[in-house]
Amino acid sequence: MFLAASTLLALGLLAGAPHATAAPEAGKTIEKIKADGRLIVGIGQEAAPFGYRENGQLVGYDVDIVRAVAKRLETYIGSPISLQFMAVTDETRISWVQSGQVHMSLSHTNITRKRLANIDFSVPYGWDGKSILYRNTKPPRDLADFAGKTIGIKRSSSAEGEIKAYFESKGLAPPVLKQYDNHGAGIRALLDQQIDGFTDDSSLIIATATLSGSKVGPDGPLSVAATSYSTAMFGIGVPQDDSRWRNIVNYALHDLWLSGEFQRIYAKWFGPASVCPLPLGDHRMEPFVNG
Amino acid sequence: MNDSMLATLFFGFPLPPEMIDPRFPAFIQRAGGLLLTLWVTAASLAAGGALGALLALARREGLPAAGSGPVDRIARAAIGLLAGAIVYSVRNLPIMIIVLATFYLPYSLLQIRVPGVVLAIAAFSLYTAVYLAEILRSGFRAVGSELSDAARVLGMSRTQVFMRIELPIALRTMRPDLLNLAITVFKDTSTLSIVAVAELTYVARQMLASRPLDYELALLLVLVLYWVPSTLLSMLATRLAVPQGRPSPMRTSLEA
Amino acid sequence: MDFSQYVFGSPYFGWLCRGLLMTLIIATASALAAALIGYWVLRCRLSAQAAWRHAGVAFVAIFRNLPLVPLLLFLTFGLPGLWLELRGRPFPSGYEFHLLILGLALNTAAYFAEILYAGVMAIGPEQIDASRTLGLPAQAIRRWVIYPQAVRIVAPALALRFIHNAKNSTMALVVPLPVGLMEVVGQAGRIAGQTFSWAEPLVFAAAIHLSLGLVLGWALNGWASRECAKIGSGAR
Repeated sequence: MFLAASTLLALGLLAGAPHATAAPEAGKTIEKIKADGRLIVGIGQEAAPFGYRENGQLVGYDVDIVRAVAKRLETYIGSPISLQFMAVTDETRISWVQSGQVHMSLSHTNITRKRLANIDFSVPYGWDGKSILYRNTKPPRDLADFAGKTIGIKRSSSAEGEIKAYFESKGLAPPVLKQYDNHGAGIRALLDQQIDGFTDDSSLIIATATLSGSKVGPDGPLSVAATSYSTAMFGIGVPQDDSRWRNIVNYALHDLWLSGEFQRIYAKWFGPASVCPLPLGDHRMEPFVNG
Repeated sequence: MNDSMLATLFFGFPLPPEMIDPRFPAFIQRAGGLLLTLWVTAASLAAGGALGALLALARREGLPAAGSGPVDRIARAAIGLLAGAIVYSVRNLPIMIIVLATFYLPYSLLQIRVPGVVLAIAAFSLYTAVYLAEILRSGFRAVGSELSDAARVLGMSRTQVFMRIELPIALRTMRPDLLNLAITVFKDTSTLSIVAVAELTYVARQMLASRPLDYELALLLVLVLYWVPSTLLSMLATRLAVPQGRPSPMRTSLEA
Repeated sequence: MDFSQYVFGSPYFGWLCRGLLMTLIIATASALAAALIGYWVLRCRLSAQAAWRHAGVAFVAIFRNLPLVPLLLFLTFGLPGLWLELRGRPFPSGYEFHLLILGLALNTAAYFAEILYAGVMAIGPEQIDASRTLGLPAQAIRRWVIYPQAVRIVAPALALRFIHNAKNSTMALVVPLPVGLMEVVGQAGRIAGQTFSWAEPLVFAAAIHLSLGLVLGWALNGWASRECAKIGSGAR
């Protein structure tokens, strides 16, 4: 009894500890990196083609981009820094940036208004759209066919709000959403016939399905609906209210564009020869004007 | 590609160089899969063993008297209370909460970043220490004072009595419980998969992301890889159990 | 820490209450299921036929040594896949909660069965002989002589296992559940997803589990002591 009381008391004392994650010093990221000598980046490792395991090794668009950006950042920060990765999940990719546990995070993160309330983003470094993956049928299906059906999404995905908004705008019953931890789980559930479709950014669902052995297309077990129901822009998550840090991240990205390195990396992952081609089209790395 | 699946389950995924925190030993961060599970278990049992022995000793001998003024007494009482509270919490909280607290509180409260493996070893060392202190206490209590008293009468020093009489008897009595503690720690490291430590269960979960078609096989293999060592060790523990005249208090205390 | 968002009536408070309710439901449901399964395993182990006896021993050997997290992962993720492969029909979805209860129950049942078996073995054989001499049929012997006494002998161990089972409810974290069915640590995670801090919700979850342990311990140990006092007095 006595020990129990003292434990509850100890918990109460713990409760008095400062709430460190409430408001970390804003605007000091560059100083913190310089003092630490390390640039800590949160990187996702469960979503092809952005960050995933190929033959066990961590590879992906995000991985290549962040390594290139880190090299450029050294000149802007002014002192040598070592790059360090921390694996993030869909939840921690936002919360760790917010609390300052990572200085930036890349995990195929869409720039959304809701997230901007908690963190800031770099300029977009990728562009895509969301669609639905489904088990191949003849004739091929489009988005409207999924009204009221069961669709899988990833936890904390921006797809949840967007797909509801799309169906409601068309006057159709929105699909029932089931949450999964990662795309592999969702695609597995789709193949096991537990759900009628799986939705996320098209590059993510196509790449995951293809790389895990389920071909996406008319001659494979899976297919993607032709229409996208929303557009997506991927951004690097950075702590809130730190313009100086966000600026140099943007400068680094812009440098990659000007030197052609960005286009090279982009072609490697989204070019015509990749598993999920996304033509660059009119997209440019902002700021457009060099000067 | 079953052989590469087995290799990955045994050794984990290779880490990109940027994921190794240079402030901590690299070899422990590189380990994954069953290898990491074994590492964490072994390191926790070692560290926790030392800590638990110290705890048990402190409780038996009392804390060293740094002074007997009122401030010292209050300080000692406060430390005793705090230690008691920690021990009580660790014994009565689900392992899941202990793991989550160890992983999320250091940055939340103190802003320090520690690699997951180190936090994992810290969590399970604490767990081991607390349960070990209890086992040691019961083990030594079961020795019975007649033997030590007789030895003292015969002129043996306290240390000799401890090393040659009490310790061997207590160890024999505690053997099955010590083994059971090791087995429990080994199995409970599976909860680390919640906080993304690359031990056996987490590596299998990662396979869902990269190889969703083989997932059931991976999970079955994981079950087997946990079951075989646990069963072998627990058969050993049953064989080592010394039949006792009095009901063993350790059964009940270990499962608390 | 900032507790302002947890005052009575706030949404987070409601989530935590929901979590407490679900913890209790999961703990009770899995304990009941475990009692049922454990009873059948015990019957197997006491059976006259060797096949049943081996099955009982096998059950205990398997489920005592399997950790809960991989077991639950297998039941919720591996089973649907195997089902489709072996039976050709998709495994019905929406049963994750039931599979969670099943997983917890299988684990606890193995311990229950073993504890009860030890209790049965501890009953003096003279009781069985006396009952047979009196002409009692086997079922009556089990119902009136063996089981009540076995339970009484091992009551403290059973109580302890029950509490441990309640703590195991936190393993529900690995199972994908709808938010209305999440137990208290799962709700803590939900809150942490919104407030970006695990510290406060964890404190609450820990306090809830400690209090639950206290209450259960007091109640169950009271029951166990009363049962133990009846040993040897011939009370039924």
